[in-house]
This record gives sequence, structure tokens and C-alpha cells, in this order.
Amino acid sequence: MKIGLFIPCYVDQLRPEVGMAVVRLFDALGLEFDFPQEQTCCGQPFVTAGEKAHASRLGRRFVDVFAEYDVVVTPSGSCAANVRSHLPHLVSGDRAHETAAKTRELCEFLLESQVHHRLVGRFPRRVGLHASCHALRELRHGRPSESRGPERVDPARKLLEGLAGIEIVELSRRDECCGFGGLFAVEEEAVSCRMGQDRLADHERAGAAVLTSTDVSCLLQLEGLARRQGSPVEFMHVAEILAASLIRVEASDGPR
Amino acid sequence: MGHVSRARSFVADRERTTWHDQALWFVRAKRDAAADLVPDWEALRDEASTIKHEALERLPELWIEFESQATRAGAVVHWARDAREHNTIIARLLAERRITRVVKSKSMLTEECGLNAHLEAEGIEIIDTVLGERIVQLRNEPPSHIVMPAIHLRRAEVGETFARTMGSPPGLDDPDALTAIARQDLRARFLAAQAGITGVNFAVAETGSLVVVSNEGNVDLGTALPRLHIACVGLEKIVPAKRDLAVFLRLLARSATGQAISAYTSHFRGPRRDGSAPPTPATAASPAAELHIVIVDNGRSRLLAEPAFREALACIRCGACLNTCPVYRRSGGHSYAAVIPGPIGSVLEPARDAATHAELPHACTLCGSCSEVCPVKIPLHRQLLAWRGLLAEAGHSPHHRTRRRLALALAAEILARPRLYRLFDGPGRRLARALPGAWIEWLAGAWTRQRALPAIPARSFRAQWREISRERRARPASPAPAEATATAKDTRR
Amino acid sequence: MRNARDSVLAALRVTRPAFAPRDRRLAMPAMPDDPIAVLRARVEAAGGRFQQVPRSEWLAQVDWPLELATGADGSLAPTLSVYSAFPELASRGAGRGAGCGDAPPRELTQLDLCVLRGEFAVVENGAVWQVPLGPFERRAALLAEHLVVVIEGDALVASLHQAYERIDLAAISFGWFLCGPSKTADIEQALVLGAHGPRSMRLVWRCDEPSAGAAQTT
Repeated sequence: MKIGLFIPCYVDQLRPEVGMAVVRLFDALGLEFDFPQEQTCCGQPFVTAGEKAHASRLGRRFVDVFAEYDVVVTPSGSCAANVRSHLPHLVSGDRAHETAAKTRELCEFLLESQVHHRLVGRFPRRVGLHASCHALRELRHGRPSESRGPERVDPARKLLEGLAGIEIVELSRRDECCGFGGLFAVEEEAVSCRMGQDRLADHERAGAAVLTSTDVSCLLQLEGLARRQGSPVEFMHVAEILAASLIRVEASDGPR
Repeated sequence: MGHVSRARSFVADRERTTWHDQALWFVRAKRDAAADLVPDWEALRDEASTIKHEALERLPELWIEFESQATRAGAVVHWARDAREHNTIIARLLAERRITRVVKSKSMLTEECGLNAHLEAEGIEIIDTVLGERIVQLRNEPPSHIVMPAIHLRRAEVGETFARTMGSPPGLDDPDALTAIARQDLRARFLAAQAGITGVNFAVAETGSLVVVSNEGNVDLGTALPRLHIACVGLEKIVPAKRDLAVFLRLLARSATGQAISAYTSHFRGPRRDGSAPPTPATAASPAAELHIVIVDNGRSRLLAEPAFREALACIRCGACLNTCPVYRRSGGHSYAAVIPGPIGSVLEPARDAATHAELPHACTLCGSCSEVCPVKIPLHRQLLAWRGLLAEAGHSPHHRTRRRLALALAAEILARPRLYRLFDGPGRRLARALPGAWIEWLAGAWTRQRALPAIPARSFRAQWREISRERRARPASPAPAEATATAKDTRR
Repeated sequence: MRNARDSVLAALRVTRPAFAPRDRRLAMPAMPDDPIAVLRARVEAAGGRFQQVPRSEWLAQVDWPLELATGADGSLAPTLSVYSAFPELASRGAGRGAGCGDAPPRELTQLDLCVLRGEFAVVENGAVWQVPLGPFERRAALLAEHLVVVIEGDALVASLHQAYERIDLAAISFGWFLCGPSKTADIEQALVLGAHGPRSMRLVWRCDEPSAGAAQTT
């Protein structure tokens, strides 16, 4: 299986350690993967800004770069959601549809490929899991609190729950938006920050020492607010927790 | 003044924002609990969506059927192409009967048409009778929510308003006492009213019936007492048959307020009749009651032509999307400066006036909760996204239009050219790290008003990747992390 | 020039999407195992009260609103102003009974109690379907301080779906579901009963044998 690693532009530039955590995880699992250097951005900021021409241009690039892989994996729920939900509407052709269909958020990939059983880790901290709206409602990672449809597995939660010693705190609003929303974060700065502050306060009240998510954008928003407020909460992407907590990797023919 | 600045001033009052958010979240939680008691909730939403789709496809036939049934039952049916015609018809009906005192129950359609201002200009006293709407009427404000019109106000403000307008004791802020004052005042107005105007929740094609729901009983007082009932109904309110009412009524109150059903769900067919009882001297002497139904288009047929947006016509005005919207809860209904605020308003209002409301589809993080909560499954967040594209193409992009588009074009240019991107990654990054923090903060603009900027790392991921991939090529075995080396199954080239 | 009706209909014929009949798959909700308990919970959640009383002595058994029940035995005070759809209530001397059909609305605002005959109650939501005998009864139900709706016999349905099967909308000019008293929460979401209409509402089920009632439901 040829895995193409997609590290979204803002992760590449602002939180490279998240990408490095994925590299460590994949290496530990012995997965064969590649980071095609021509990649930049899946076009999400332009999709949400309503700038379709730019979005399709970047979407076409994304397809050109990643079409040859069997699966495209990214440590970003919202980018995976953008590729899966919007790319087929922006770029015509079977290649675009196929590329979109084989794009996976990291935790989703680890669960689907059944390698998550092999990760043995320990993370004895109180962790607040922030649900990325796009992972939740576009990728259907977990059941949104307003839905009465079937229960669904949230891959990130499932992977974290597998770590020894971890305590995932109980939030009063388990899937409210952090207020990032792309350009919304700067254009609607007042509302965006208020939303983020409320989210942060919920995690703090619940006693989270580490706040995590599958989305770096949500984490940048919440971390930016936390730093300014002098909050002691630490911020780690789920990939970083998985990599940092790793004790050993079971052989693939091991138990289960 | 756009949504951004109005929202900013609402949010500036931290305490009010906290209250507003929590009050509406409480309603959302009640809705969740009510939905939990209905095991077939999602199937019910599917059914409601199906019925609405079918109804939208058969609108002309259904309305003709409705008209014929309603007329047979003794109602008079009027048609209005737009708000002006709607207002003119009602003003004429009142003038012909020399009516000057009117009570009105909550109707988003009459808000949309600006009926109150029109009738007041004709010298007619028109009183909104649902408490929340009466409060905002006394304050000369529009409603801030389609189900809870005064949700932006605190009890003390209601007390001040009543003291100023109805002479109640100053400082009164007890909801029971304030409601009692309004009840007494409005009871007299109900008794004196010569006509009652209502909205319509559902028009039933099969029987020509109108269904109107309320909790306060104001709809019923307004129609049981005066001789004339005028019901205003938008084209989207038709349902094919009686049995469809069960589906929508099971969803409506639960989605709106978390109630299993509203206190009053009234079914009107034709004008009020004096019943099966023999006419008494009093009823025989008074002229017969009248029911006039005004069917209003006002842009609905145009919206029906838009595949991306027509599903918004399925809306049953429950307000659930407002209650769940994290932006609405914090920015307040007035920040939308629209008849209908929140997600559904941000879809409907640009259809009415794109230039004025171009900003609204951007007052949203695309979290998608509105689409999940909607009882008729309108894909609201998809429609908001669709509007962003259409409005940008039409030149109605919001927020410093030119600057925004230039910045996005520049970003796209860099991101579409890996070489240019690498230029920024290398020298650009070194420059950014060398610049004084204050410069970066200035460049980052609104981000840094309340948020720290992330520290700019020394090397990007791709720079680090280039390094490790060189090492990888140099070594035959994969460099697994030290802790994991022992058991990692090595399959690398 | 076309009139508004024709031009609206013409516009709709142009803009509407093509008709595609769809399957309706919704199953009718079943009656819960303990309909009385569910009904009672729903009525109480709506701020109302539910009571099951034996037919023979229902007048004595109904828990009349406290402020009206001034008789030593909890019965209604004879001086009350009452509208009742049940002649026996009037004949007990409580109020003026059903015979006051010609009273103008203003006089009805003095009404202490309105007792109506309901057709059936909906277990899933606690509402009772009622068709007023005429405008007078409809007004009395709105203007009285307290409302009692009496149902009897085979009077429970599981949900609104079954309810509408029983309702003939074409045969009535007016009918309503009533659920709990008139209420508002428009001031700070604080629930206040008696916004415009009755401050209390009782749903009373007259049964031949109260305990056997549940078994007879459909």
C-alpha cells in the first residue's frame, strides 16, 4: 500500500512537530509512506471564503500530487473533510473523485487499517478532547450531540482511550465549535474569540491538563487564547500524544 | 455597520453574552431531551423532509386545491405577489370595514412584509400580542429571535420598558408580575379589537384548513373574539394532507422549545361559525364572522428556481438552528439586521437582497450543527457555503472586499506554485523570525487582539523532511524511534 | 395584465422542480406499555394535571383548582362563575352552567372555571383534542381563569398520527389540541403560567372503572 502523507500548509509552516509525530508513528508501525514535496494546500481556506476559482486551482494541484497513492493520510480533520466533501465538486473527473474518496484523517486511517491495536502507549494525563466540527459532522467521526442517528465511533477518542493511564475529561458541551472557522477567526474576531474562550473555559473547568484535537487550526485558536490568558493548559495534536506516549509497537501478527 | 461591528458590540457586554448563550443553549438542551423521548426522531426528520420536497414540487396544484377547499368552507382567498400587495390587501380589508383596532399574533411573514409600519401609517392601531413581541414593539425594536422575540433582553430591561410605556412600578423585574401587567393590558386590547391578524404554521391543501400554534393562547384570543380574522401565509407553508400535520407537529414544538406540543394547536376551516347550537339572540344579531387568507409569494417562487437554495423553503420556523448556532448565541439576533436572523436567515435574506445581506453567510464557522438539528433537514451550512461562492462571483464579497480578494489571490498564487511556496518557506521564514514581534503582530492584525501568535518554528515540516529523507536514503533500515525500535515491524525499503 | 393569483401560479409552474414521488416509510408509533403514566408525565411537563376519576362520582373526585374548591368537602363554591359542557355541574348550583351561551365576551372575563368535553388525548405529547360547541365555548376556554377538559371511554391514542386518523378536519370549522395552561417564557426564559388564557389546566379522564382504563386503550 502506497501512503501519501499530506501535511497541510499551516501545519507545515506553524506546527511542523505534528507532521514529525506522524512520521514517528508511521515509522514505528513500519508503514511505507511518502511526503510528495510538490504538495501545498488542499484549498480549504478558499473553499470556505467562497473563492471557487482559487479553490479549484489548488484542488487540481492536490489531485495531481496525490492521485498516484493508494491512500492519502493527513493529520487534519478539516482538510480531510474539505478534500472528501468539496473537492469532487470543484474538480471534475474520476481522478478527483477517487483521490477524494481515498483521503483519510490520521486517526481514521489508523483505525481503518487495523494498525491501532499494535500501538501500546501510556499517557497518564487529564486530556480534553476537542471535537473538530469538520471531523465530526463531515467525516462523521462520532455522533454529533444534536443528532439522534446511529452511534458512531470517533477514531481519535478510540485511539486515546487505548492509552494506559489517560483520563479524558467530561465536557459540559462536548462538541461546540472553537470559533476558528478560517477567515472567520479574523473577520469576526470578537465572536470568534468569545467562542474560543468559552470552549477553553469548558476544558479548564473539566480539569484538562492537555487539550487535544485532530485539527491544528482548532488548536492554534484555543492555544492562542490560552497563552494570552496565561492558562496552564498544554496543547498537543492527537498525533503528538500518540507519538509521545508510545512504549512499543506489537508485531502485526500479535494478539488480535 | 455590518454583522461584524454589531456582533462586536453585543459581545462587548460579556455578562449579557454569557446569559444569552446559556439561555439559548438551555433551549437547545431541552430540544435534545425532547428528541430523546421520540425513538423515531431521525425517521421523522426524513419523513418531514420528504413531504416538504414533494410539496415544493407540487406547489401550484396544492395551492389551487387549498383555495378551492378554503373557499368552499367560506373563507376568502387573496393572492399577493409581494410585500406591497400583501400590505395593501390587508389595509383595504380593514378600511372597507372601518376597522382601526387590530391585534396580531406572531408571524414572521408580516414582519418580512413590514405590515405594522404600513398599517400604522394608515392610522390603524396594530398590537403584537405574543408577550415577547409586545415587549419589542413597546421598545420600537425588531424581534431578535423568530420564536423568542425578546431573548436579547434581561428582566430589568423589560421592567423599565413597562414602567415607561404602561406605567408599571419602576424597578419591577419579576417575570410573573411583569407578565401579569402585560396580560391585563392585552386582555383589554383583545376585547376591544375589531380584527385579528395571524400567521399560519401549516395550510392543508386537502381540506383548506389552517393550523396555527401558540403557547400563550394569543392566536386564539385574537381569532375567537373579533369578527374578522386575516391569516397571512407564505407559499411554502402548504402541506398536502391532514396526515402530514402529524409529522410536522411532532417535530415543531420539540425542535423549537423542547415541548412535546405547544399549549394551543388550532385548526381553522372557513370563518368562525356560530356552532351547531341554535343561534342565540346575540349571535343572530351580529353579522357573520369572516376569514380572509392572504397567500404571499414575495420572492418565494424565485427562490424555488434555485436548486442550491430551494430547500430553505421547507423551513417551519422552529428556530432550532438559531439556538444551536454558536455564532448566533454569542452575537445576538440584532447583529444580523435581518427579519430572520441566524443560519436560516443568513440563507433566506441574501435571496431577498444580496447586496444588503452579503455578509451574513460569512457570519458562520461552518460547524454544521444547524443542518443536523433542522427538523426538515435543510442543508443550511452547505447553503451558506454556496452563498459565499455566488456572492463573491456577483461582487458582493464582504469585509474590505478589495483587500480580502487581493490577499486571497496572493495566497492562492503562492500555494499554487511550489517554488514560490519554498521561497517563502526559506528566506521568508528567516525574515519572519528576524522581525520584531510587534511587526509580526501588526501583520497578523485581528488575530493578535486577544490571541497570541504561534511561535514561528525554525524549520518547516518539509525542511525537516528533506533532512530525514536524506538520512533515510543513506541508511538501508528505517530509523524508528528509540523506544519503539525493539518491536517495530520493519518494512521500509 | 395578469392578476396576482395567475402570475404567482404561473411563476411557480416555471420555477418548481420536477415531481418525483417518494416512498413514505415512517412507521406509526405504538402505544407505550403504560400509557397512563406517559400521558400523566407529558401533561405535567406541560404544566397541567391529569386525573383519572370514576364516572359515577366524578364531580366529587376531581381535584378542582385549590382557590375554587372552597366547600368543606373540596367541592366547588356555589358563588363561582362557571361555564360547563356538563349540565350536572351546573345543576349542582356551581355557577351558571351551559345556559349562558349569549353572554358577551366581556362578561366571560369574569369566568372562574371552564369545563369542556374533550374527544381524546394523545399519549405521546399530553394534548387533548377538543372541538368547541361554538364560539362561545371557545372563548370561555380562553377567558376563564381555570380550564378542565374531560375525556371518557376509548379516549387515548398513541401519537398525533393516530390522532389525525380520528379527526375529520373537513367536518369542523374549528378544533384544537390543548396541552397545559396558557404559558410564556418570553421574559428571560422564566416559565409563567397564564400568559393570556387559563392559569391552570386539568385533563380529567372519566372511567367506569379507573384501574381497568389502561387495558381498554388503543
